[in-house]
Amino acid sequence: MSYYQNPKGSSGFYQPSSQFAFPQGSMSFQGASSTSANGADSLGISPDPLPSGLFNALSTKGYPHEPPLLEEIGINFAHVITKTRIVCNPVSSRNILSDEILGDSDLAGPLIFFLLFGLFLLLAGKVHFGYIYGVALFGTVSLHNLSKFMGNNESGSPAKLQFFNTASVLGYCFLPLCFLSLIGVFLSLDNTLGYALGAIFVAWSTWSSSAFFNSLLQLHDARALIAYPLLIFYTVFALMAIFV
Amino acid sequence: MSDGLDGVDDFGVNPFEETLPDTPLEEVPPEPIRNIEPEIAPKPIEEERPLAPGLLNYYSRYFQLTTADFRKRVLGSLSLRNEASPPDLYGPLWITATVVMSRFLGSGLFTLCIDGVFGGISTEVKDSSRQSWKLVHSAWLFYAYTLLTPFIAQKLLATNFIPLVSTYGYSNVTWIAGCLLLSVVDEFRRLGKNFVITIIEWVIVSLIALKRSYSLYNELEAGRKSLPLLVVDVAFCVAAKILLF
Repeated sequence: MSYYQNPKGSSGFYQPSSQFAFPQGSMSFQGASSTSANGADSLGISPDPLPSGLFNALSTKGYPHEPPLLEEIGINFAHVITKTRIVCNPVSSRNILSDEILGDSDLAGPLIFFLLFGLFLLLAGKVHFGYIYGVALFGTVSLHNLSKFMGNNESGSPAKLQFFNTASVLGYCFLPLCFLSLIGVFLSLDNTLGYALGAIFVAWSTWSSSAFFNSLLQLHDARALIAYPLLIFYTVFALMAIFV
Repeated sequence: MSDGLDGVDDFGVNPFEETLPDTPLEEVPPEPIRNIEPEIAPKPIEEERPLAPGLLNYYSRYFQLTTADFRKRVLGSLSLRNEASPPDLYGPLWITATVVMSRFLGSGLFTLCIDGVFGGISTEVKDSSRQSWKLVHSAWLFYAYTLLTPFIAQKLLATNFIPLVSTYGYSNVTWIAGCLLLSVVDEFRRLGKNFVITIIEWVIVSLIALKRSYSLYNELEAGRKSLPLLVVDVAFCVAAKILLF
């Protein structure tokens, strides 16, 4: 802190003068000598004041040059919607899987889907949040390692797949099972119809996620191999929704 | 007041005018330029050292196979012919998982088909603690056997570990079919002929043991040295029958 408290700025690292300084948000250091008594800086430009009032205090409004809150915490609703659409329509999504979507490691959507799944099970009288988190965590770690091993890389080293990429893909492709648990709120799934629906939704999730991994890992003729562990992973959740 | 251009227009002579010196210049020995480090020849790029087997990434190469390779190996392990294939670890991992799953889900699946789908009777989950107990036993039994027996085989036959794991893993394919078949047979216990059913089950387990022994004998290619391993394999099949069925 001694650097910031030195009024002359004669020691410590280089600080540009205030007229050349890039605005750094509300937490940036404003030298006492650079602003006059009325709040204007050396160029005579006063910073935009924060909006006052109770509602503004509770809102996300800040300085104009600050990025939006969702951007700061890394939530991109456009990506969430795009990935959800791809999962909902896995057959025609083959050509839409851009690098931007594949490299996205958004966890907001997966979190919502897992919570929804747990909530619908709760509404059906089943409290399985612990199982959901446990199986999801264990399955994600295992499938991430397997995917890294299976990643086809010309240099022979494992694919540069990030853990949150895997978690994001697995979480987004979990959406069909949310539909299953939603149906389970109104109908009993422990019958022939429930088993058939469970099989359909598990196949849907597996199809979507294997398409993602196939593109992400650039697998050649190995989609069935990556799909099989994914099928087992999603089957566990379907069994949870039907039987437990 | 300095304008920041000191020395720019302070030439005593015109530097561009060609003049001859009055006296010959003394030869001054060239001084080494200071503060400049001698140029170092770039080091030759070292070849990437192969990963050690202790590292997890070392095993990555054993997971990079295609669906066609996998299918070929699975069908090869079901047939009686001995086909040489490159070893992999994907098969041992997931084939063993499938065996465990087929034991766990097999009986419930057939009960469901016979009673629920064809009979139209509401089925209840069989004794769940017994099912869980069998799931745990099948998991440790099959994974321990598939991963630990290659250690013994490695010492006995002085061969590599990974191909042995691959061989033992793929030989579990027989148990997938066996588990499903035994689950079907087990459903007929409701007819009340337990003795006959038990004999049929032992016959099926014997056939599985025979098939596994034959395949292992061919694939280990060690002649009489592999006989102790075959005895262990038969003992494993008997243990699986007693513990799981």
